[in-house]
Amino acid sequence: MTEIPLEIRRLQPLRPAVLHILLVLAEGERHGYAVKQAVVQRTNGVVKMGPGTLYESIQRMVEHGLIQPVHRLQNSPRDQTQRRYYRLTPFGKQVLHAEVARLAEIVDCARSSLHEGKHA
Amino acid sequence: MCQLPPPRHSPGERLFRLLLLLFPRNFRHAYREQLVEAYIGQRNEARYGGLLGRLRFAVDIVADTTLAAVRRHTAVLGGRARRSRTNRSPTTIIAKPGIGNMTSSVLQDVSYTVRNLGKNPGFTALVILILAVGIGANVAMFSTMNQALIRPLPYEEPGNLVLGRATFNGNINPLMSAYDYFDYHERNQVFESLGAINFGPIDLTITGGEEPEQVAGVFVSWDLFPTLGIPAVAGRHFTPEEGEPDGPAVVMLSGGYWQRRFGSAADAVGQSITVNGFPLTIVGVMPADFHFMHDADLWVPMRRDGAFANARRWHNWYLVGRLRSGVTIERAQADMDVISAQLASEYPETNRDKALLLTELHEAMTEDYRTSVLLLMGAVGLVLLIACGNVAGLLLARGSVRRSELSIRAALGASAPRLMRQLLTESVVTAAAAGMLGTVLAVWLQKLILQFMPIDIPSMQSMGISGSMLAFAVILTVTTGLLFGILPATRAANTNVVEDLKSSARTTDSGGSRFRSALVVAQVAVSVILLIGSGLLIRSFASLRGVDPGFDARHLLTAEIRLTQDKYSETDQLINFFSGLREDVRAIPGVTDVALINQLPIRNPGNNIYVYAADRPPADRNDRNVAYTRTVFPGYFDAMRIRLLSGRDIGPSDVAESPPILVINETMAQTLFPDEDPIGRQVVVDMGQDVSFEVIAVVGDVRLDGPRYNPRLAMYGSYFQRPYYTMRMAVRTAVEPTSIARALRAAVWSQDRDIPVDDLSAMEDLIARTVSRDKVMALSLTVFATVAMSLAAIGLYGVLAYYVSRRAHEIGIRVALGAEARDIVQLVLRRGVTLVAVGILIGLVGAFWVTRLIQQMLFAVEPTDLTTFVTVSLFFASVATIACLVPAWRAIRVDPLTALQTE
Repeated sequence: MTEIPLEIRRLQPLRPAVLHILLVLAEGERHGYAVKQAVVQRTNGVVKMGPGTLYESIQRMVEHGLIQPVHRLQNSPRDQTQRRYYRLTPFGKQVLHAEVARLAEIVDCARSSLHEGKHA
Repeated sequence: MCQLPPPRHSPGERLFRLLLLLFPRNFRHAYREQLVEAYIGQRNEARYGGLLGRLRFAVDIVADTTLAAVRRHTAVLGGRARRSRTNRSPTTIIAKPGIGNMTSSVLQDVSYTVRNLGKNPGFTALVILILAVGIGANVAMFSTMNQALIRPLPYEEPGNLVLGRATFNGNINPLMSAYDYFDYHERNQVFESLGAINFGPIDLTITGGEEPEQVAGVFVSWDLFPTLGIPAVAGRHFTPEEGEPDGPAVVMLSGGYWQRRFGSAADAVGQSITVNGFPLTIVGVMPADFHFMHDADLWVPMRRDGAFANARRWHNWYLVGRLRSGVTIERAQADMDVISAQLASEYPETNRDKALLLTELHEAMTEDYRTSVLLLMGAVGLVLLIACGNVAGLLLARGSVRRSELSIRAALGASAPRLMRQLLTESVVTAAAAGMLGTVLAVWLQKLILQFMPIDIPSMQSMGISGSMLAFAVILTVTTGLLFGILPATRAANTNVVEDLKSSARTTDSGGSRFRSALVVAQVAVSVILLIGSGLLIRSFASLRGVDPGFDARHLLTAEIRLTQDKYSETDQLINFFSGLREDVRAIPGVTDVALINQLPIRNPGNNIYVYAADRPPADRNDRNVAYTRTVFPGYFDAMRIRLLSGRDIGPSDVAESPPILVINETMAQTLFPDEDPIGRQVVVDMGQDVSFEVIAVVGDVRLDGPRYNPRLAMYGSYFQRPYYTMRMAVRTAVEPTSIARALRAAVWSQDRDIPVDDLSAMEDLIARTVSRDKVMALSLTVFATVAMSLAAIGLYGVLAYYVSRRAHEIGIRVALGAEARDIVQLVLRRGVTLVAVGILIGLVGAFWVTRLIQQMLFAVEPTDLTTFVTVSLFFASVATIACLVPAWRAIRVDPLTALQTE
C-alpha cells in the first residue's frame, strides 16, 4: 500500500454523494443538474440526491479543491439558466484514485473474510 | 429564438424557494437558480406518481434541504473555528507534564476539567441535571428515613424504652385495659417504671375565657413523663396521689398551649382552668417540642377507677415501660408472660386469651410507615443507579470520541493512571456540581415528602439540613461520580497510543459494548420491578377508591357538636337542643337532609361492645361477638342513604319509656340470626350489665372504619333512649357542602353561643384522607418507575444505535450481498429483543420476590397479581420495541457503499 498524503487522508472516507460526483466528473465537464442525472442513471436510481445535497456537496468540493467551476459560453437554448459547469482538478483526481483503491482493499478484505466465515 | 414568458412559479416552487432561506446567504445567492432547476427536474420525474408519491417527494425535499443546510452551516462555522484556533497551540493545555506536586496536579486536573466541561455545555448540563435529580431525591429520602427510622427518639436513653400492647390469641389489639395495667405495674420486676397513655386525644372544652375553646386532652398515667425521662419546663410532673381515685383535680399543659393561652407566663402554674365545666389546677408544663403519640394541649392524669380506668374488659391504654439497666427485652417479655398467665387464671372471663407484647418503642412507632419509607428509599436508589448507568453509557460513547485527545496526551508522556485520574476527576467534578444542585433540591423535596406523607414521629417537623444529611450527600456524590466514571475511565485510559494515532476514529470497543448491554439488562429488570410495584399500588388504590362505603358520601358536610355537662345536665335538655338544632339546620337554604349520630362513619371509628342473641347465649362468655355501637336521631338512615332492608326505621316514639330497640346491620343479622328473621328478636348487650334490646330493623352494611376495612357487626340505638353530650352531624346539601359552613355555625350559636363548632369537613374529603397514603405511594412509585423506564429505554436505544454504527460495515456487506430490509431489521431487533427479554425475565422473577414486601400496603390485589405482571411486561415490551425500531430503521438505511467506505 502506497503512502497516502495527509491532505487526502483528511478527506477520507468520502461521502457517497462526493464519491459519485467525482466519478461522473471524471468522465468530463458537466453542469450541476447533469451530474445528478448521471449519478441516478449510473446507479439505477439507488443513489438519490436531492437539490440541497447536490449543491452543498458541490460547494464543499470546490472549497476543498476537488473540483472547480468552468466558465463556458451558452451554446444551446436549453442552457438558458445561469448554468455553471464543473470539472475535476488534479487533486480531485488523486483523491478519487485513493478512495477507489481504499474501497477495493475493503472489498477484498470483506470477500476473504466472508469466504473464511463460510468454511469456519 | 423565441422569447420566454415571465416566470410563473408553482406553489411548490414558491415553498421550495422559502425553504432555501435555511441556507447561509452566500450559498443561497450562488446556487439559488440551480437549486430550483434541480427541484423542478426532480419533481418532473415520473417516479413520484399519485398523492402518496407527491407526499413522499415533499418529505424527501424538505429532509434533503434541511440536512444540507445544517451541513453547510456546520462547514461555515467549522471553517471559522479552524481559522481562529490556529493562533492557540493545543499544547498549552497539556503543558508541564509531571511538574509540581500532587496538589497542584489535582488542581490542574480540576481546572482542565472545568474548562473541558464548559466546552460541551449541553452535554454537561444534561448529565448534571440527570444526576442532580437523582441525588436530590436520594438525599431527601435519606433525610426523611434518617429522621423517622434511624435517629434515636428524643427521650432519655431511648434504647431502654418499650411499648406494651395487648394481644388476644396472639393478635395485636393493641390497647390494654386499665386494671391489667395496674397489675403489670405492681407485679413486674423488670421495669424501672411503667407508664400508660390513653388511645387518643379527647376533645375538651375550656370555658371561662373570652370564647369557649376546644382543645385536645390526653390521659396519661402519673408516671408516664418520668418514664420517658422528659422533665417539666415549669412546675412539676403529676404525683402518685393524683392518680388515686379521690386525688386532687389537676392538669398539665403542653408547651404550645402554655404559650397560646398564658404567653408562657411562669405564674400559670398554680392557676385554675375550667375544663368541661370542672375547675382543674395547673401543676406543670411540658416542653414545647415534647410530643408523644398524640397531639395534646392538656395532659390529664389517669385516675384509678376514673374515666377509661374502671374496668378490666375495656381496653383503652398503651403501656410504655423503661427497662431496668441490664434487663433485655426478652427477659422482660418472659416476665410479662408470667404475669399474663397469672391474670388469665385469676380473671378467666376477661383474660383467658390476653397477653402483653413488648416491642422496642422506636420499632413499634415506625412500623406503620417503615415499609413505605424503605420502599421509596429503595425506589429512588434504583432510579439513581439507572441514571448512573446511563451517564456511564454516555461517557463510554464519548470516550471513543475523545480517544485521539487522550492519545495525544499519552504520547506527550501522560501515564495511564495519570489519564485515569484526569477522567475520574472529570466525573467527580460533574457529580459534585450535581450534588450541590441536588442538595438544594433535597431541602425542598423533603418538605414535599413530609407534606404528602405525614410521619408521626417526635420533632419530625423540625427538619432542615442536618449534618448527617450533608454527609450522606457528600458520600453519595463521590460514590456516584466514581460509579459512573470508573469504567469509562479505565477503558479510555488504556489507550494504545500507536494504534489510536494510526487508525481512524473507529474503535473496537467490545468490552464497553458488553458492559453497556449488561447495564441495559439491569436497567430493564429494575424498571420492570418498579413498574410492577407501581402497577400493584395503582390497582390497589383504584380498588380502594371503588369501594362502596355503604352510604352516599357525596354532598355531605360533617360537623361535631359538643355540649358540656354543667349546662346540659338533664336528658331533656340534650334532646331538646339537638331536636331544635336539627330543625334549624334543615331550614338552611341548600340543605336537603340532616343526619345526627354519636360517631360518624370514617370520621369517628371504634367503640365496640359485646353482644349475643338472647335466645342463644354462648357457653363461654369469651365467645360473644363484638359489635360497633352507635346512637342515632330518627331519619339518620334516610339522610345517609343507608338501605333499610327490613323492619321499621327508628322513630320519635322510641323514647326512654318505651321498650329499648336496636337497628342492626346486615352482617350482624347474619352472624347472630343466620337464615332467620331477626325482626322482633332480642339482643343482649354488655353495658356493664347485660341489657336486652329488641331488633326492629336491618340496614345495609357501612364501612365504619374506612374503605379499607370490611364491614363488621354494627348496631344503632335511639338517641332518646341513650343520649350523648357529643354528637356528630352530617348535613346533606344541594350545593357545595362547605359553602353552608357559616350558616351551620350560626344555627348552632343561635341556640347556644358557648358551643364550639370546629372541624367542618366534607365527607368525601374524609374518605380521600383515609386513602391519601395509598395515593401518595402509588403516585410516587409511578413517577419513579416512569423515570426508570424512560432511562432504560434511552439506554437501550443507545446500545442499539451504537451496535448499528459499529456493525454498519457488516450490514453494508449483507445489503450488498442481497440481504433485504426485513433481514436487517431482524438482525438489529434480535439483539434488542434479547436484551429486553432477558431484562424483563429477570425483572419478573425479581418482582415476584420483591412485591411480597409491599403486601401489607395492597388492598384487594395479590402481590403476584397476574394481570399486573402481564400488563407491565407487554407495556415495557412495546416501549422497548419503539426504542429498538429507531436504530433498526437506521440500519435499513445503511448505504452499502458508505458503510464499506468507513472502514
